[in-house]
Amino acid sequence: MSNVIPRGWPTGRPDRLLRLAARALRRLANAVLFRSRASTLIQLSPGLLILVALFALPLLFLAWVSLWRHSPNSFGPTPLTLENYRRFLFDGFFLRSILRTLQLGIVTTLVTLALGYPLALIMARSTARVRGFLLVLVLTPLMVSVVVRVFGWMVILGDTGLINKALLALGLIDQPLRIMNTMAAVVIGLAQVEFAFMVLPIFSALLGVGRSLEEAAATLGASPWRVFRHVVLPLSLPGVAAGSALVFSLSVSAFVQPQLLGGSSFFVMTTLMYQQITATLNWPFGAAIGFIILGTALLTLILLGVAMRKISPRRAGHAT
Amino acid sequence: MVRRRLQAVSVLLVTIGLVVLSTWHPAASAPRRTLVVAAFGGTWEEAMNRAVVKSFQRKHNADVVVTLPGNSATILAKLRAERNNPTMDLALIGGGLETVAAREGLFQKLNFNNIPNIKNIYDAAKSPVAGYGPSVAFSGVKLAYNTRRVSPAPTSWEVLWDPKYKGKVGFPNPDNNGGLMLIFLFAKLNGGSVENADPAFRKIATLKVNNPIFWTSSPAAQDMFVQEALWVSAMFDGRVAALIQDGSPVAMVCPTEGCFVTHTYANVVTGSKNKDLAEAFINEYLSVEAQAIFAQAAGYGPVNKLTRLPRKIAELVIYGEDDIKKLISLPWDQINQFRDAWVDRWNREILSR
Repeated sequence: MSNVIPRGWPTGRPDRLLRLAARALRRLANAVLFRSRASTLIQLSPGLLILVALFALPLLFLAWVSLWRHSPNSFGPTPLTLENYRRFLFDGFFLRSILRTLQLGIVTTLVTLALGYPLALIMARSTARVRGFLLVLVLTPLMVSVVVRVFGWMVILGDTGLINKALLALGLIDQPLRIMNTMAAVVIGLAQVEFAFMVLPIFSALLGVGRSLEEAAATLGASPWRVFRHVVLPLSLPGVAAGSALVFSLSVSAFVQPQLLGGSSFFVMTTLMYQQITATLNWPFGAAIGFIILGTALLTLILLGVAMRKISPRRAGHAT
Repeated sequence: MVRRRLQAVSVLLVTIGLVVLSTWHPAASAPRRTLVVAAFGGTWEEAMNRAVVKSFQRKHNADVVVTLPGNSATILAKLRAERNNPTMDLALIGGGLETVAAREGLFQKLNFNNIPNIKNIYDAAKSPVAGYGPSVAFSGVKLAYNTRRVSPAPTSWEVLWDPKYKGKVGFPNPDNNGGLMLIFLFAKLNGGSVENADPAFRKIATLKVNNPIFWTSSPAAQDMFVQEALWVSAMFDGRVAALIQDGSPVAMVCPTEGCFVTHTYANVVTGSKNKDLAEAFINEYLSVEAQAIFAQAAGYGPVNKLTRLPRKIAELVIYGEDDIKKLISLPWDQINQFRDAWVDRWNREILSR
């Protein structure tokens, strides 16, 4: 401890005080971490306070707003009503938007999984240099603003865009392909950036699978495919689950890609919510849609968690 | 021991010195004030900096901080969120939201003695709610078309229904104010009104056979004109002016049935501690010089009657009493009552496949 205090520090007193304080802190930490459960709360309180202030309170406020009755001529609390939720949940048009949102989330998750798993496997099996290079490649799309990235895709996917021009020039098609304003365009726009969120958890799960396990399986006569199917894949499932959960939640809450790449008829819950906030100024209804998105995503994630626990041979978390 | 004490004293002295240095201001200079202005990004901000901010800062010994929450709706959102403790002194807002904000008490009435230039603005630029901030720029919604693909030059909105241009006609959604304007116009043209927009929805539904592109984002529509995914559509005139100046083969016309003028109003936020300064900023914005520079740089029409523009710019923007009279002003107060209903109906009847 005394090494930490710079030489020439005025008088010995602060030094002694510091030591006392450090000892007290260490005792407190020990008590919290290893002995008393009640004092866990004390330890967590700074973090909890920040969470409550920055996360829970705004969410509660929004929940309150979602129970107001909208009026075009005033904005403020009204007698509370569930009307906004009823309006959304008892209407075929809005219910179809929930289905489309889920569809978008699932398709994007599957696409990133199909492309991301092999890459994660390659990364886990390569040298540090190759791995670092691939990691940078995977993370690069995250460094560009989402709007800029989407405008880039608009140029590439448009009727006279890069892809269509190339295909027309090669004579593979004689009519431009309709890619813009379809689900495919939205999935492409989402998958590009969410790829990283799929690759990284799987990669780290695969790193946790010791090569010795594979060698043991191979020694016992398993073919490479059986080694993968029965050893590597099951042990990497927690990573797959984490990646899927991340990609799915990001996809169902994405707004820019559906709005700009999906076209006007591509109604997902986020674009409908945005419309309520900016175009109709019906904030209570917009807030209600926000909570329905949250509920839908949470419900799906819980189902995913249950399914994963069923498939996974060990309890999640053990393999990582 | 003596050395240690000396060290302690010197540390103390240095600390005191630093504290004094960091809090000391040269007494000679008067305190410089700061005005926070909420505006729109991109061309608007650049043009405003060139036309207004620079000269204002010089004249009033003040710093202007321009904040860019997004569009009018996001500025309204910020005003509502900061209702009791505003960080903005002056807010630009348009598209009918200015009356919403004034009604909700988010803006304060102005002292027009501090804004002498107000006597030179067109009547059309005055606030729809008496006592509040004026419009600082006209923008129009007109019919834009690709001059190479669309001929003869269109004179009517009916060109959107022309099968020759199938798949290449565009129409703004009501999420974009342009869409609200067209619903209003087609209601009027077909015997309806704001309260009864049925005729508009029936008319626009017949456009579907021409495979139109319904768009929301103006920059995206601008991009579609460049890529020739769109040949003809209603557009904000500033966007078209930008296309023309970039050399795209695009022109715009006010069809015989009419086109629209809309405004961007400058208002002082309730609770601002710099009301006088904000009023001075509005005055600067309305000045002949600022209006001319802004019109050239941003492609918006000047609101000051005395502003003179070169011919090339005058052709692109709303300019002069005659021009203004031809344009339809929208009853935003009435339309605001139906935003929700129109958007909902539009989603179901026009957009749903």
